[in-house]
Formats: sequence, C-alpha cells, structure tokens
Amino acid sequence: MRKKTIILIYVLVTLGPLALGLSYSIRYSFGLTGLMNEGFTLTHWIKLCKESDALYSLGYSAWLTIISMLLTLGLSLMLSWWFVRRKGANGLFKSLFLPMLFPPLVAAFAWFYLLSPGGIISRMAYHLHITNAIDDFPRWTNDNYSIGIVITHVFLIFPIFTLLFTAQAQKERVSELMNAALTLGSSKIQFLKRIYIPLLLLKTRPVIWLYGIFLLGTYEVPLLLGQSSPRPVTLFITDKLTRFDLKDIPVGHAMVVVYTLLVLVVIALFVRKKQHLI
Amino acid sequence: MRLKILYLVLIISSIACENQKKEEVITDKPWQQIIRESRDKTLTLMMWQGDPLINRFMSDYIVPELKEQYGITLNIVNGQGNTIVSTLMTELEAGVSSSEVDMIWINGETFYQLRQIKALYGPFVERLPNNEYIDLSNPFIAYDFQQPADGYECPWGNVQLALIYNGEQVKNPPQNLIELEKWVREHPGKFTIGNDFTGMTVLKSWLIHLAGGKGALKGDFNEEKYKKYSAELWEYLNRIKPYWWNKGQSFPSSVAQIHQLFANGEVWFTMSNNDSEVDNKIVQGIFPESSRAYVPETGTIQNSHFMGIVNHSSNKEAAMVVCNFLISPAVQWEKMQPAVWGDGTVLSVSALPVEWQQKFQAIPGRKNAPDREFINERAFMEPAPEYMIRLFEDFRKEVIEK
Repeated sequence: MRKKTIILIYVLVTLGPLALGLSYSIRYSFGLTGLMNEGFTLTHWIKLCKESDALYSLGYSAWLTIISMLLTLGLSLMLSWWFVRRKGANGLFKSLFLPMLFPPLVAAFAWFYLLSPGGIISRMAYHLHITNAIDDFPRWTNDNYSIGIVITHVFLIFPIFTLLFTAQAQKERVSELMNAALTLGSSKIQFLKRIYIPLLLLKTRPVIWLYGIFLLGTYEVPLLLGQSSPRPVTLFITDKLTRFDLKDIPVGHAMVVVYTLLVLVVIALFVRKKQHLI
Repeated sequence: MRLKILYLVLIISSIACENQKKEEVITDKPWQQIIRESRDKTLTLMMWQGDPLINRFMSDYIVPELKEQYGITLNIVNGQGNTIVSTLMTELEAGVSSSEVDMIWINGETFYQLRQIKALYGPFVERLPNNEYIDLSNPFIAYDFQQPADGYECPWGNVQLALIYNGEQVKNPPQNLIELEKWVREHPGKFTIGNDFTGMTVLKSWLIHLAGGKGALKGDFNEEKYKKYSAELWEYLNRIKPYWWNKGQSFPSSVAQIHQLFANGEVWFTMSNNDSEVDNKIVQGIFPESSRAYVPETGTIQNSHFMGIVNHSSNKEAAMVVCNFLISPAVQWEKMQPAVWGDGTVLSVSALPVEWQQKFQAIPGRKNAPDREFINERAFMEPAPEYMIRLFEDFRKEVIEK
C-alpha cells in the first residue's frame, strides 16, 4: 500500500505537470482555451501544416542532436580510452569538470567571442599575419553548417560522457579484459572495436538517450550561434508564442503538442527496445 | 482509471483557463486622497533593462525620489514587449485577480496587443495633474502606431529611429535606398539589420518611403498597399542581401547583437530607436568615439513610448501617482540630459512655467546625435500595427528563408 502511494505521488509530481501542460496546449491549439480563441477549430493545425519551416525546424533540431551526439560520443570514447590506459593523468582528468560549470548561455557567449570573425581567434590570426583582414577568418558562428552550435554542444557535454565512460570502464575492469584479450592474440584495435566501444555504449545507453532529448530541446545555444533560418523547434515555438502576432500563439501550442509527442515516442521506443533486450 | 485521470486533467486545465475580461471603472477620488492612500505601497514596474544608463537613471533617480516624495517603493523587473504580453496574458488566462506586475513600459504593437486582451487600465491619463503639460497637439505623442492612446497609456518619452555609423570608416553615409545599395555593394559584409523590433522599424521606414513618404500609409491597415510596396521591398532586400553581413544568410536576433558587431568592427552601421543613443554608448565606452548618428533623407519612424497600468493590478492608484511623477517637468528634464539618457520630452515646453522653460532650453546640445528639430522634418508616423506583424512574418518567408 505504502509503495503504491509513493509511486502515485511520484507519478503525480513528475507526469502531472507534463500532462497538464500538454492538455493545455492541446486545448489551446484546438481553440478551446486562450483569450483570442473563439471555440473549437482546426484552423491552427492547418496553419501549422502550411508553415514552410515547421517540419524543417523539427528536422534541423534532430540533425543538430545527432551530429552533436555522434561527435561527443566519439570524442568521449577516445578520451576515456586514453584515461583508462594512462592512470596517471589525474590532473587532466579533473580538468574535465571545468566545462561542466558553464551554463549553456555562458558557454554560447564564450564560443561566440572565441569563434566569430570579430572574435579572439580571428584577431589573433590577424595579428599573427595568418589572415590579411579580420573578415578573412572563416565563419564558425551563425554559419551555414551550424559549426558554432555543434562545437558548443560538444564542449558542454563531452566531459560528462568522458567521466561516465571512464568510470564505467573501470567498473567493468576493462584493463583486465584488455590484457586477457591481448594475451589471447587480439589486437588493441580489435578490442576497441569489438569490446570497449560496444560495451560502454550499451551500458550507458539510458544516459545517451536522455542527453539526446536534452539536445533536441536546446534553446540558448542556437539562439546566439545559429542562423535565422533554419531555426530549431524550440526557437520556432518561442517565436510563435511570444512574437508580435497574438493569433500565432495557438500555432505555437500546436507545435508544442507535436514536439512533446515526438519526445514521448522517442522515450517509448527506447523503453520498448530495452524491454526486448531484457 | 486512465480515462478518469484524463478527465481530471482536462477539468483542471479548463478551470485554469477561465478568462476574466472585465473593464475597470476609473477612480474618481480627489488627487490628494490618491496620493495619501498610495503612501507605503510597493509597486512592480516591468521594463526593458538593456541600457545601463537608463537602468541607472531609474535606480538612482526615480526609485529614491518616489520613495522620498510619495513613500512609494518601486521594484523594477526586466521584460519588454513579448514578455509583458505573455506574462499578462497567462495571468488573465489563469484567472489571476491581482497581477504580479503593476506598471509596464510599452508602445506600439505591445499597446495594440494589450488592448486586444483588455489588460490595460484606463482611461486614466486625464486624471493626472501633470497631464496639462503633455504635448497632445503632437501626433507623434497622441497616437501610438496609428491608434489613439485614449488615456490607456501615459506618454513618457519620444524618440526617432537613427542609423549609427563609424565616421572614420564611412565618410558619406547613404541617404537613400539607391545610395545604400551602391554602398553595400562596395563594402560587402558591413551592413545588416536585426530580425527584431528595431530591424522591423527600419523595414517600416523603408516601406513608407517606397509607398511615397509621409502619410502614405496613414490610417488603417491597407492590404492592397501592403502587398504592392512590400513586394518592392522584398525585391530590393533580396537584391542586396548577398552583400550584407554574413552574406545575408543570417540576421542578428537583437539590436544588442548588432551593437556588438558594430563595436568590434564587423559591421560599420548599427541602428537605434533612440536617436540620441549614440552619445550614451560613446560615454559608456561601447561605441568608438568616431560614431555618429543620422537620419537619412528617406526618413525614419518617430514614436513615443508610454507607461501603462495593468488592469488587474491591485495598486492602480499608486501607479497613477508614479505616472504623474514620471511626466513631471523635473523628471522629464532630468531624463532629457544627454549624459543621463537623452530621451526626448513628451511635454509641451512652451506650456511649462517660465523657470522650467528656461531649464529645458539650457539642456546641453547633443554631440554626435542629430539635432531633434532637423530630424523632425524627416519623421514618419508609425503605421498601423498590422504592418509590423505582417512585415515580421513576411521578412522571414520572403527574405530569410530565400
């Protein structure tokens, strides 16, 4: 009984606000609530479907997430491999905690000042006569390929995954496993590809998915370092909810519903896949 | 069980969404009684806090003077246009009877939106004793984006959009759209506008110019005119945007970002809705000393900014006292000092007592900002708010996404 009560309270506290928020957005998007709405209508959903960049913004968010996660995981696996093999690199290991102190907005500003054409690196390149003018520096912020956004994302989360992979590797006694594999004739590359990487990715899968969802909803970094178009789904929603046209607010809520359902589908897929494995 | 939970959620959310649209009745108490009853009240003012000089003026002058003269404590919180609208809209949708915000610094489309959702108290301006000095004969003060203020917002300051350039790099700033096109082609990457309020004000100024200048877009929103002249505007912008900052592939999201680009030399032009901001920014050390502001021959929009009182505030009378203080000759004079803020007054100086007239006339001239009387001749009135809404939407579709 007590256990059931605790579970009920937990569900109410965690899922309650989400359910209320989602139901509010559903009602708003169908015209059932909101100061400017006048009753049930499908107009806002039809308008959302006609928005040229609605679907594009979802795709762009997914693209940013996938690229950032792939680069982060690659870098973190490499670094953890290095830390596992060199147990003496304690100072460097501790320095990984530093980027974790940066809030996303501060990190975005820091990278903006570093990477923009008028930024620190560009000025250094100019003074060292590597570039002839400040404008010659390649554009890494507000750029076509979202380089600044991806770099900032990787900067923000690679330390967490490096620490996680290193701790997991130690827990799984990877050094001992590697010695055994090498003794049996395996090469380091084979061990890395067939044991180390699959093992760590499998063991830390829930965290990888969670950070994927976190990156899908990133706001401050693309706001500062991204282009005006495409814009990620969070900026699309914020623009609709807070810009000049009050009649666009229900369209923003419709997008909130789409985005929330998308995240729920991702979580459901993950849970289902995990159950299959169990 | 699941259905029950779903019903519960829907019921709770529908209760939370009950609107409270009711018109307030203006107080008819004598002014001295209002002042007495406002003593020891604490008010919250939501305003844009993006300028250190304005912030200093508010915290070092307005707040202590209000406390000393009227016993009112004024708390200032950050928030502008969209934040104000969404805050008050959420409160109204949730049926909140007493707002967390009592006063708001607004103009234009924010006023239009707040009137739409009946979030503004009024008409209260006629009840303010200092109302007698407001220059209501000036259409730039009496109207806000073609809408009569009708006493639902109290004029507080008057400004005009100005372009700011670096005088060392730009010897002859472009005076019209043809010259601007020539200039950006000769100096690729050195010009841009923001995808924000200020950027849209620039576009509105150009739209009015293309439509024929002063008075061309006067009155209600005209779809036919909008389509005709906005098409010309998009064609012009798309023609020259490859020569803009970042090849026109992205636009700064705020004027602060353009200021930043201007300060570090990435662009050679920035802009401001406050024609005297250039002097402030030089004093603060943000802009180079060689920065100059000007209004091109094609003209720019002049508008006023206002103080509004929230309809569901529980401190409306105290807020009226604050508004009256803000339009007093002393505050308006202090605010107009170039070293303090440099904001144009909304008072008719000739209607003031002689000693105040002399004080206003003795305010030191601007250094790098254009003369007010001169740029007044190049001033456009704000068009109807729908122009702003449509320009913002279509700028994305017709320029940013192309």
